[in-house]
Amino acid sequence: MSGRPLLNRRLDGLGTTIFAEMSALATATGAINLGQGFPDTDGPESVREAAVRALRDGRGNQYPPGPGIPELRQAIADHQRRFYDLSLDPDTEVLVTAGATEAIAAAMLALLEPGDEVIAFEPFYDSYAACIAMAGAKRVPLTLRAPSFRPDLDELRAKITPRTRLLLLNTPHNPTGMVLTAEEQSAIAALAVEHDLLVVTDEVYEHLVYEGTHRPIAALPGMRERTVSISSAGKTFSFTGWKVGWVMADSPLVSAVRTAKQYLTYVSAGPFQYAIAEALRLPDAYFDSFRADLRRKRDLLGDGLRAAGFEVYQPQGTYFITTDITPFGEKDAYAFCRALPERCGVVAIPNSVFYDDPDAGRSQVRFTFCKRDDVLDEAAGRLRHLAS
Amino acid sequence: MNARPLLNRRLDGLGTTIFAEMSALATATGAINLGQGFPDTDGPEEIREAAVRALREGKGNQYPPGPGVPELRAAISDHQQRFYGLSFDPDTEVLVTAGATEAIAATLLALLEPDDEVIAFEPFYDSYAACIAMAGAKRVPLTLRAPSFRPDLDELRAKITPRTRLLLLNTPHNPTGTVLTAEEQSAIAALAVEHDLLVVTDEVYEHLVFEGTHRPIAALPGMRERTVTISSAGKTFSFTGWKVGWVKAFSPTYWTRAA
Repeated sequence: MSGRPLLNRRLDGLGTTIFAEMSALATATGAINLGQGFPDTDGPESVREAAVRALRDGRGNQYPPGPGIPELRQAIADHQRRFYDLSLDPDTEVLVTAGATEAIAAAMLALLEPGDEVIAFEPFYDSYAACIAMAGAKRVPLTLRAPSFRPDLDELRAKITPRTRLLLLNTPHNPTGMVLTAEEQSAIAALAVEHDLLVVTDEVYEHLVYEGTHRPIAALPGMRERTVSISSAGKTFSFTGWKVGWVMADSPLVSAVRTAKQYLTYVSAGPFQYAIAEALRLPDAYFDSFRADLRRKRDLLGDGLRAAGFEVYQPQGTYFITTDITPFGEKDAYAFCRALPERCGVVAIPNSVFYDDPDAGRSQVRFTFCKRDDVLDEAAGRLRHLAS
Repeated sequence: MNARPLLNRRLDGLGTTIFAEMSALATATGAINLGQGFPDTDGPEEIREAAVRALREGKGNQYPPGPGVPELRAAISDHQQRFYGLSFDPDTEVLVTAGATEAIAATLLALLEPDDEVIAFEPFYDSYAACIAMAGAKRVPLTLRAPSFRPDLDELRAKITPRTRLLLLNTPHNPTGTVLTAEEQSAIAALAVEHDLLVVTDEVYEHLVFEGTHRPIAALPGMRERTVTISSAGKTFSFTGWKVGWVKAFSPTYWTRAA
């Protein structure tokens, strides 16, 4: 054991997530934490009370069924019908997971073999890189470049090789807020069909699109049988701590993902599964006002960041804003974020850590706006001292 | 994608757990299900009400800290001191997981590399085989034989090779109910030290020992720095659906600092 490092060398460099590092900095300095994307206000009381009822009625206190409770799987299928007119068999085409994070891990560990290549947008959510590495596969980045962060589809085509096993998509995209257009989705789908690739798509911000509309890529011709769609309750209902996510795909794909999933956590979140089954049936007014509220917060923080001197890249979706610090005469986002709590009492995340290409995101910094208005106002006020 | 199966071939034959199959049979036939190990009576009301309070007071409704909430890590550390006289630093030596299942998966994916060998008791909990396979490592079974199901320690010694990376223990043992004796633990520990092996020990039934007493193998000389101990709340408090587990192990950083 002493002959080599304790940690699997595939996971070299993935030791501590930037979120842990920056959240620790927020705690140590008392700074306002606009780093990690979780709301400071819980979701609807009716949903919370549904969890209380489940606990007290003894529903979900013992192992739920491996694929998730039938009520939640049905609610997920109904949600896909209601919002996207997609039809899913709740018994064979839906799998409940411990948040989208477990869904991604299970999908990668199930579908990849060592030596496979995965094309994924960069900047990327850090768990993508770790899960691809654990599977022994190779991540091939497709860089989204400021200011528009649109994917270059010619570049995508050029990166496909005989070893390419799957495309890992994320729309709305964290951290840039980019939302794939219908044309981009069609072009990506055509490439997937042409090269017979699997597609895994992380759509956890599906209800936070401010310009355009979200449409699952699984709805496109030829995509259903090759696409694993991932979503979760955390972002949509503001209960990120409950960790209820799900996988939607054709039955053979769900079976494959379930095989890996059942050995990662087996099951999870018993009582919360019942609560989220109710949450998914909330009236349209909930989803509309949630989105309207976050759009307003986006504009509130965006205005504040512009006033403070940042270059702001307007996000079309998610609850993040990517900015550039070049106007301050600075270009190292990581150093900037390390110093920011001391300089003005705000924590943010350097996008540079989400790139393989160190230059592509070197001067980009991400802020979340899923916080109370007074917190966003206070943060904007503090950031205004940067320029002086 | 058509050229090969959808599922990673390392996971061949691990598609559906026997528990899913038999529980489905129980549902279909209305038979009494003595198959899967979960109680039909929930744990203490005061614990359930603690969960209700946390929900209503907004504690844990958003992402808890990555290693787990400090209150739980301190409680796990205190539990180890109280029952076993073991001392773990709650900040660096305790990690909260989504049940013992996630703890096992994370431990094996972190510590193993392709072609490592893992010696594990057989019969084994099926997630052991799957996690070893996902890590690309090789499972080497040490068969526990009826009627006593004692491990054969000469056989264990014979199975250790230069490729052996870790011993995966489980005591009290599911499914046989074997509880390792102090002598067996000492012999296993001596082998681990002699061959410089890591030890991962699943002790989720620690509070369900009817003959003898449970003692964590991590407490033995030379074991602390090489042992990852896994336990969980599900079996001890009869809330298997909540999936709260934990990992306890040595933190080189902490002890260096303390020293």
